[in-house]
Amino acid sequence: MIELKDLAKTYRKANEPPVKAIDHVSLKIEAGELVSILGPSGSGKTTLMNVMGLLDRPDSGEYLLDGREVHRLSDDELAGIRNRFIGFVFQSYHLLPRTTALENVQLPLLYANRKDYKERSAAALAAVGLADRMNHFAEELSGGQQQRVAIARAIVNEPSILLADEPTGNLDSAASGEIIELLESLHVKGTTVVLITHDLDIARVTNRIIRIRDGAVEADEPNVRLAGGAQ
Amino acid sequence: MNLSLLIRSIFARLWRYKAKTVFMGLGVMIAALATVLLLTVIDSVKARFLAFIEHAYPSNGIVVMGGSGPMSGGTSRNTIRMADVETILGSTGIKEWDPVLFGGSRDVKRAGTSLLVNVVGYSDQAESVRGQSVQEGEFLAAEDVRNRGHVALIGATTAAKLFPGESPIGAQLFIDNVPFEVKGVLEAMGVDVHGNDQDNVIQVPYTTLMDQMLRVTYVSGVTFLLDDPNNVEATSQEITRLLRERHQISEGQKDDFAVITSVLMHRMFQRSFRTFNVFIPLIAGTAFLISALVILSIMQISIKGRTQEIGLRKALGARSRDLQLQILLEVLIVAVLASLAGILLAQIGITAVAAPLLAEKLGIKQQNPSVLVLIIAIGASLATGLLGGLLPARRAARQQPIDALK
Repeated sequence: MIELKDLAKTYRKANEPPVKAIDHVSLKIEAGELVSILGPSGSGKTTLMNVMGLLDRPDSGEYLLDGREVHRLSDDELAGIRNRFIGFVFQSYHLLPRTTALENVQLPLLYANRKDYKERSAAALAAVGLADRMNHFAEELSGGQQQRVAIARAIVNEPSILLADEPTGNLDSAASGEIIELLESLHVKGTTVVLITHDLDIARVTNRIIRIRDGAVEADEPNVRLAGGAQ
Repeated sequence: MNLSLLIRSIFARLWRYKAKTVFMGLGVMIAALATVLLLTVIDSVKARFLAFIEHAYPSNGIVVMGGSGPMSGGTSRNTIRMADVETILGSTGIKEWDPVLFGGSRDVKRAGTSLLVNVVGYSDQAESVRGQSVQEGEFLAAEDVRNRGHVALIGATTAAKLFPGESPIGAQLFIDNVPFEVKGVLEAMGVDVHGNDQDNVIQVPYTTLMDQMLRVTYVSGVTFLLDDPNNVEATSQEITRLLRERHQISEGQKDDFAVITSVLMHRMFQRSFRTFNVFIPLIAGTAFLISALVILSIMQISIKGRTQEIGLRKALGARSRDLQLQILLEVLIVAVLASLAGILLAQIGITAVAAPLLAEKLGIKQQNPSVLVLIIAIGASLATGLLGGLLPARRAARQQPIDALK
């Protein structure tokens, strides 16, 4: 599904030494995996997720997504692929304010030109347990509910990959548990889930942990899960 | 791209950010209001002038006036003598004609009431040549003109002032102490294009006015009617030639009379409205341009504040042109709604203020905005939206998703 070959990206700022955010990373993630990318802040894991999510371009190296050389595509082509294949969950939810939960979930469908957007968006919200909050504005919901709206938005177009960047970073432990459970259930349904986190406890729910330090892969090993019977 | 979903979400956004929407549309609304109001009032004024021209200068008519024309300054206006008129009639074979002799404001008395009234002399032909008519009584007859009869037709205002609540027909009144019998009341004309009441008037046979009251040998002017409008140009040249000869005007000297045709009046009319044709687009254009700048600055700030939203939309699959379309549509929808509001306000202004004012002061029947005026207003609003929205739209489209999500 995801194949990175010798990928590199360096940030350069005037009067500062260059930062190797991705330092020649090669890795493969198969379809249907539940993977975590674990690293301390500043390790380059968010840059890696942005590149994997086609939100950012690498300086060098190759990126094959489902066999396609996506590093060669134009911005608009990348937008199309993000829309159809990739769902995003961000630490700070990134919901539109003064916009209802339903409208937030409909955003990807706007660009997918789906006629059945009403049914799909309602179904996605129901799937995250927010059927009764559809017409609430984003800011009227709790943090956990907002993140569930974000997950509904991420899955509404039925993507094959879900990228979650510190999805529980702003949540208390109860809400975090709910979000992790949701991500696990998506994995069970066959979605490739990549969880980016600095928290080993969160990473332990996944089947494989890729440790990142200073932009390079430090370790990549299967994880014996502590809880949950998935797989 | 799901266009109907996009438009729904734009309307939802415009509604939720009402203050910004109103502020953005305000300029366009005022510009559309001013444009519709100005153009429609000018249209009505034009229509009134055209109606006046068509009435006073029919296409088969030639009007000859003493002096060097309706706009003449110091030159003597009393140059057309009856002998001139007879020569013209004999030479051109014109049958329908009616002279006019302005008697000026005269002291008119009736049983203790005294009034200053415009006295004008016409012939019995004024009915057919000038389209005049009476609403009560009878028009002047040929023998009134022939016999220098002391009969008068009075305007509606004069009738109301001198004979309140009674019929003036057959009653006597005095013009400069000369007795006249009221024969008829003229059909009301309202105010003229200069705002003067045309119904405060007394019409008498021109012969009576000329020979017995003013004791002059000239008339102020004559209106000739031809059978065939195609002969107007040739005949008016013939009249000019005859009058120059009779008035012994040598080559290079100016006419001491004016020969006015419908074509000439229309040309003068177009010339006098040319100023409006330049200034109204200039004023309206400036208003729309300022509105475009207002939209531009509001949208530029708005786009900056919506960095996150734009980045998110891109992350979720919006292509550059999707975002460009969204921002442009936002602006264009506001512009069209604002122009519709402006048109509505203009219509209210026309009905409530402009129409009564113009009717009272200038006798102008105010028209409703024409379809062309509405198209101009909406079109200009759309152009304004494009002008103000294009740059912010491109700016939004250029944003990278990664910059917005940081």
